[in-house]
Amino acid sequence: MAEIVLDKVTIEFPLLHVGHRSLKKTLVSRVTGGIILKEANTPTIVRALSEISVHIKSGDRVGIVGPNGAGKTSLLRTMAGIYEPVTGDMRVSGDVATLLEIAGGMRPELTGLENIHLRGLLMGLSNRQIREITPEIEDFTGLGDFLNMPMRTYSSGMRVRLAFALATAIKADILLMDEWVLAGDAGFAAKATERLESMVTGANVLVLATHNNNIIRKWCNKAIYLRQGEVMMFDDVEEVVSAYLKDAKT
Amino acid sequence: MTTASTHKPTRYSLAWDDIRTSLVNVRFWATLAWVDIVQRYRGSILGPFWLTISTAAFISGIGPLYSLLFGLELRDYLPYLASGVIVWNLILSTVNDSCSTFINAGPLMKQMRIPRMAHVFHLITRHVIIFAHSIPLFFVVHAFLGLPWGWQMLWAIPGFILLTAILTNVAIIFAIISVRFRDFIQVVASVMQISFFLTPVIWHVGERPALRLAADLNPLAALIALIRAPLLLEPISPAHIAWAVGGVVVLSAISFLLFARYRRRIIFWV
Repeated sequence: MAEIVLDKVTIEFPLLHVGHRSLKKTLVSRVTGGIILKEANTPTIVRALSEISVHIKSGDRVGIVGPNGAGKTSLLRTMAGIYEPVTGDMRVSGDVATLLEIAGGMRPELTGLENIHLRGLLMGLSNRQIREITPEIEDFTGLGDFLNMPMRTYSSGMRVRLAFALATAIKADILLMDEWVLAGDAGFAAKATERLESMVTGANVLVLATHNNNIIRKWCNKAIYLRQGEVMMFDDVEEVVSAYLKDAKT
Repeated sequence: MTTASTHKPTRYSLAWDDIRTSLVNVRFWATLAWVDIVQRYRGSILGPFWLTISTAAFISGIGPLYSLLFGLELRDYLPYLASGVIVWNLILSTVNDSCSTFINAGPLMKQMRIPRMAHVFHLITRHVIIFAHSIPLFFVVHAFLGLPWGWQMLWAIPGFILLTAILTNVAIIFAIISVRFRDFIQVVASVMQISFFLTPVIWHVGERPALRLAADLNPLAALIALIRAPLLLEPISPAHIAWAVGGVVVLSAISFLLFARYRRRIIFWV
């Protein structure tokens, strides 16, 4: 049974190397809406998630909405076990697949096929199992000979295709993803839709962070409205979306 | 709800879990290390042997010159220099690179749950592979000069294992410190640069007691001696054995405590 239980989970992190180029990107996306706690003589601490309690059950397809910096990605990362809570308890049962960063875990200088192999190893597959799933991924991405080229030569759409195919190649009980995933071209969007449908039917859990109300209406049966790291609402999609829209207008 | 915190795992058991899962994922980081080597030389004819060639060039350039400067027989000096430079390169590149372990692994760590220590093992493996490309040079020099062989040389193997263990622990410590304090990378680079001249890599202690003492007090000299002394059929000085064995014990303790304490925060620092 796939299930995610968060009980008063709080995630805080220090803002370091603020002037540092490599971190600027991360900061810009994170700071805008999070609560910034200032303490004298200590680095600035951002409370990305504040006492989050949610219970996502088998069969739930949950959309996360909220303004920029509300903590949507942080919540996904926490559920994925990437961030460990400062306080609070979390329990995740089931295998988790993640689709969070577009190039995450891919090495641009390696070919598509090599990246498939590496990801397979990371997921603990044997070489034989990797060989078994490879044709299916090749087929799904529709990248053909490009799979023998370094990933740095790929367009961002092509990267999305490969990333999506990789994350969904192995049956996972829980799929956590950011909305950019569904931003492929029309042909890919149809394929992705079909793939996701097959994944979320049955007892699987999908958690999707998004700004797009159409995507959330289409994919989800529940929604979390997150603002400044707090859960404002966790309810049926329509109610949450309309509350969010109302807040956004004022 | 069944979320009551019945038995929260301690940070030590979580750290230990991380190490265990990392070890289980051996094929992942070993492949990654190999891929690093292959990819760096993709499209080049000699591939990773470029590393060997550049070390060979260094040794054959510096060897005759310094044997004249130091007034040493080339026959004695060349194997000494070759083994010293090859082992030093392993130490230098591992230590310098270790600082960016987590910084480089950032994108992957943010994408999926992945044990932290796997990145350290990846780094160590990469440098061991590079070392494996250069160490044959010593034997080429040795054979070329027609020097005697001996079973005693096999002591270099435990020496190498000890050295790798020490480097692994240093890498853990440096990786954690420098992901938090980025300035540390520059500090390490400068210290290592000076250390090259202060450590008997290309110069020889000879019969000078002051230099002997300086070398005995230098832990880096001990690390080199672990491999160099057996290869040259010389005994390892007791001071150096003490450094190495003591080093592995103390560093393991420090690296484990540091890792247990800061493992959870690494992701927020990248």
